Amino acid sequence: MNRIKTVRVFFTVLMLLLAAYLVLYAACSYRKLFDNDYNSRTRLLSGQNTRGTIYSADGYILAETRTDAADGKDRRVYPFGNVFSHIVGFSANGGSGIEDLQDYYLVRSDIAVFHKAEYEKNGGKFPGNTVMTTLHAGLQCAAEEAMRGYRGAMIITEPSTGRILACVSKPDFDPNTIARDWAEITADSSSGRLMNRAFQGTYPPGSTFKIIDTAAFLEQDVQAAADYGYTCTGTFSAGNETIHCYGGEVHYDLDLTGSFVRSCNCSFANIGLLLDRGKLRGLMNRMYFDRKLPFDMPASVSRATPERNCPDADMIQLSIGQGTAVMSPLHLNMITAAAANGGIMMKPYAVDAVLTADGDDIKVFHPSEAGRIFSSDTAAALTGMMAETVRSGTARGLRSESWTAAGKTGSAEYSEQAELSHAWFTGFAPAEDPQICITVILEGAGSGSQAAVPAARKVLDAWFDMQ
Amino acid sequence: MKIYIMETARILAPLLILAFTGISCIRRLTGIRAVQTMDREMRIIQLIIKELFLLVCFLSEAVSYGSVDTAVFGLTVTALTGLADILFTCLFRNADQEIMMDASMLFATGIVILTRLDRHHALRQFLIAGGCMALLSALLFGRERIRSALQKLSAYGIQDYAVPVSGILGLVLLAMVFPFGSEVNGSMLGMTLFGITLQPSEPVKPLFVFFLASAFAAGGTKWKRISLVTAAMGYVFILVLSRDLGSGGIYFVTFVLMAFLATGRRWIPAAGLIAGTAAFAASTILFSHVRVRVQAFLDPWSAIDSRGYQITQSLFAIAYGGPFGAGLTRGTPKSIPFAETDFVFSAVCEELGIITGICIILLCLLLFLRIFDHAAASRELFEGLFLSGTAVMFLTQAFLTIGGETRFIPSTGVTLPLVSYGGSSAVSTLIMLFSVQAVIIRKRERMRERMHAFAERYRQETEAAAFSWKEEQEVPR
Repeated sequence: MNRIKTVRVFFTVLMLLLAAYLVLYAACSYRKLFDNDYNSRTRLLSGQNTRGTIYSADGYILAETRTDAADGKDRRVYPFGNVFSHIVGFSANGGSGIEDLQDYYLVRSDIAVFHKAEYEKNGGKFPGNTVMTTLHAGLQCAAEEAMRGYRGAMIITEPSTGRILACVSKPDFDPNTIARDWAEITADSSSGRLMNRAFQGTYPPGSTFKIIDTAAFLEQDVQAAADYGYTCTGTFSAGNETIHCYGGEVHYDLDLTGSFVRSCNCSFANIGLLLDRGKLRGLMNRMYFDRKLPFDMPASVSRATPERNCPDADMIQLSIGQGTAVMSPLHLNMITAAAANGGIMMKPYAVDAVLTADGDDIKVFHPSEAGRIFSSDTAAALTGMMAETVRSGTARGLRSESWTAAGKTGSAEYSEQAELSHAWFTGFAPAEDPQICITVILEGAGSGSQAAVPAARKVLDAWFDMQ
Repeated sequence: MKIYIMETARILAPLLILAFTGISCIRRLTGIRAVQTMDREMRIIQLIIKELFLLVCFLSEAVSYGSVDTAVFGLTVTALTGLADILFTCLFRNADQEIMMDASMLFATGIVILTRLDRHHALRQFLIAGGCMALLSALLFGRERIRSALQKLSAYGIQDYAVPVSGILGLVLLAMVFPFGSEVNGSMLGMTLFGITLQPSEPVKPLFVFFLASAFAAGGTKWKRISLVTAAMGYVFILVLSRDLGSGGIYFVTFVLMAFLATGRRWIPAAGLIAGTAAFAASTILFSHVRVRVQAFLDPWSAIDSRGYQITQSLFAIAYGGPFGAGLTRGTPKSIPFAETDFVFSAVCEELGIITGICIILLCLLLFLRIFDHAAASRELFEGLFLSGTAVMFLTQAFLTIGGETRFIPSTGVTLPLVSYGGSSAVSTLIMLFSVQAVIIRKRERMRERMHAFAERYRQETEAAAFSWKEEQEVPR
């Protein structure tokens, strides 16, 4: 009987669809739903388990829960105080940093049942899962020290893997007293102490954008790049814009490498007009401009991609990293690291693994590629230019007997008064076999060569001392 | 020690219900005419699994609360449900044991989660259901007497009045919600009469199915058909007006599908779909109450502390348990509004796991299919329509409630039959199940009688033939 079969089939399909939806939805969304602020189950688990410990890659405790012997209450303790304040974050008041990112695992205790039984017998709470970060405590301390007295950020990653070795943002705070200081910190809206400037800060890139210009030029026409020659007169005009080289310098005859090493604004404004806009847009898209970075912690979107028909006046501003272009230090670091990594950009990550309190693996995170942004030849050429920048160019302050670095400086103007600029440096070391990639920005500190390079120097010295 | 019990129970309970459902599925997939001998063995295994499930669940609840009361209650419930199942099987050999088993498992899950949510409500639910089952069993047991009484009455031509009387009676009972009813969560569902709270939309359900089945079976003139449609729409209209849109939907779907099954006209479900969609769209525009629910379905996150609160809390609960659940008493199902009634499925998923949730969906489907099989095998139109109408009503309700709780469809404020807390719902579901069993028993008894009659005639004929052959044998001398 056809109608019977129709009704039967209809309801069977309906219920099976419902069942399939249930399974798929739960499987896809359980983490997101757990992390939602309106979900009270975190509190439930905190009542059962003590929050897990967070470790650095070199074995130091970055965050742990200690039970007060006197009143039996749990306190979250950060032995390094303000050194890791933004990257490790805190768990109170909504949470931030790694504490927030891995909250799901930190509140859970996945040790074996028989081990839990022992804790139960002693009337205690179960120990939460452990998070092993990629952070290097020794390096982070050196970075924090180098940043003291400044506002800005420093981020150091491993170019071949994307592991974040250190991340400092100033001004900072002491997470040990965050609950007590909360009202005071949040009332001061201008300083943005809680913001992680390395990930969420957006600054005009200034001369560091010349890395992208150079990559675009090399990708577009290697021969033209090799044959490139320009005579700098100190000024360059297009449309109704006129730009000058930094400090009123005049560079005379330059090739591409010379332009890069001396950071000649006029030469790069010229190069900017030579670039094919379509290909530049493609390159910037591959580099993750104007889209969300492949990173699981909150990070800002860099905005710089020009319109296809943008006027020349805007183009020359972009090519020297001014105008409306803004980037985050993290993003610049990813691009620099890609140059150090043969043109392949790696996804940055801050957590190596999540373990049970007994040390058994729960989840291990592996390096993963974000994509190839330019050819390995371009990467080699860029590396060469950046090494020369250290040897004889604007980053001379990084010359050292025991190691060789490569990089690019930047002095990004951010106000009408030409005096005020952010000091940038982005680079890696050793130049021939990159181990670490460092990007630093010091807000309002002036010139990249004079302010950012010495800060990077202190950190690189410390790093190589530790090897 | 406690943690060993809790962890074991957490893994074991979903596995047990999975095994139970698996057996029911296997039985279904190997055909309606299952091997008789295996059938009995499988039923015994299912009964044991169900009893184990109840014991494991109640044990973990009792251990977690450290409460002797819970343990005693649990043991009593386990023992009594087991006894009830065995008694039913013995008393009513011609009943469909599969239906009884699957319904019993759903009820067991319900009691388990209700005990965890509110022990007093669990006790009340158990007593009401138990009392109702006892009463209905007594009626079923005395079916012969009732049948002969009804046959005497039919001499007075009372059958002619069955259709209009049942139709009007149902409408009146539903309409009583207007003068006497009280508003709950935006809809006028219940009323309190003589100190008892009941939802008229529940007991009217079997009456509605009876009304439609007899009306369609009686057939009739064009005028009769028009008045039938008008009356059925009247039911839906009253429910919509009292803002119980979930029940309105259930009644409407049941009517459309019963009409389709009765007449076989393809345009009926199509027209029903169009009319239903139009009515839904209209009610979204007209009733703010409906609009709020649709908005909460489309985007609960932006209004998470107001209109989206119910559904988001439900989703948090469902996703928290994982496949095996957090374990009974280990979640916070009480953070879901109406966890005992409209959102009981979410509570079950949170503590007993997604596996259990899937099993509940499958058990409801299996129950529907089983009743529907009997409807398909019916020779009388009334029988077939009554059975299929009951099945459709049951599964539509299950779909609406589970779909609403999981954000598959907007939530409609209906409960999960047999599992949710609610006296009226339990009673009406039991009435429907027992009337289904009554029909099945009668069908099987009639079939047995026919077979016996046939066998008897065959025996007589062969005996007569043998006799005459003998006679012929003796002749040549």
